Amino acid sequence: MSYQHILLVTDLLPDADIVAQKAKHIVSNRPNSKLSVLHIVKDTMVGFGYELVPASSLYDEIDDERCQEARAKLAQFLDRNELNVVNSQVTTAISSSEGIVNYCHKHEVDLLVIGRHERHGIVAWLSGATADNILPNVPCDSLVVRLDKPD
Amino acid sequence: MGYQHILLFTDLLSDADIVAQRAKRVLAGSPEAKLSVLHIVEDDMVRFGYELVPASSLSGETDGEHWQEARAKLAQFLDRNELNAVNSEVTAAISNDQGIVNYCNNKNVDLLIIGRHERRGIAAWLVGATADNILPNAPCDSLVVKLDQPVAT
Repeated sequence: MSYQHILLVTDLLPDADIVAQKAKHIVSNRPNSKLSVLHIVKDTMVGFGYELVPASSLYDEIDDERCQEARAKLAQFLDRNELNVVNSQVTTAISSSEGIVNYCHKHEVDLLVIGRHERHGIVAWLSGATADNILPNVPCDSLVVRLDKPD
Repeated sequence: MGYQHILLFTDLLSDADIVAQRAKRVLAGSPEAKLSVLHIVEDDMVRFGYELVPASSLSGETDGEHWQEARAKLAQFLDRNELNAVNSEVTAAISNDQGIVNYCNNKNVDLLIIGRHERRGIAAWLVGATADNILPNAPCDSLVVKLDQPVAT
C-alpha cells in the first residue's frame, strides 16, 4: 500500500527548496505516485457588518495581483527544483491550514509534505506553526520536514 | 540524501501495525537506513530534590511487571511485522514527548515515524495527541501516520 498522491505544500521562502528535495526523493522511490504542489495566499479580510469576510467575495480582483506574483514564484520554484508535478496550484483561503485541509479532501491526497520552522518561546505561543495546526485535521499521513528559524 | 536513522515510536496498541507497515515501506525505499523501535512506559514518579524523576532511574529497577509485559509485547510486535530493527527499546520517561525527543537527540535520529489517533472536541483539547506535542521539539523530520479513533488497550 504505497502512496499514490503526494502533496507538497510550500510557503515559497528560500528554504522551501529543502522540503522540495525531500518530496522529490520520496516521489522518485514510488514510480506510480503523482506529485501536486500547493501554495496558499491568505485572503484579504474586510469587516462586513458584524463579520470578517474574505474581500474576494465582495470584489473579484482584489487578490489577483498577489496571486499572480505567487504563481510566478511557484513556477520558478518548480523549475529550480526540477519537480515533475501533475498539478501546481495557488489558491486563496482564510488560513493556510484551512486551504491545505480542503485541498487534501478534494483531491484525495494520501501524503502531505510540509516544512516546519523552528519557533521558540512567545513566538511559538502566539503564532504556532502551520504544520501544528493542520495535524488534527488532515485526512492523511504527513511528513513534517524540520527547518531552521524563519528568515 | 536518504535518511540514515529512522525511529519508529509505537504505543503497541492493536493499530500500531499500520504504522509499522508504513515504516517498513520507508525503509525499503532507503536501503542504507537503520531502524530503531521505541516504546515508552509510564513509570512511577518520585521526588528527587527539586525534581520529579522516574523511579526506575534511581533504583535501576526495570523488571517490574509492566516492564516485562511491555518488552514481551514489543518482541511480538517486531515479530508480527517482520521488522528488522538494529535497536528496540522500552524506556521510562516523564511523558511520551519528553522521552521521544530525548531519544532523538541522543541517537541522532533523522526521521521519526509516529501514529496519530483522531481526536475531536473536548478530548482533543484536554489531552491532545502525543504527535502534536513533539512537533515543536523534535530535532528531526517526522512522518505522522493518520489512524482512526483510539482503540482500547
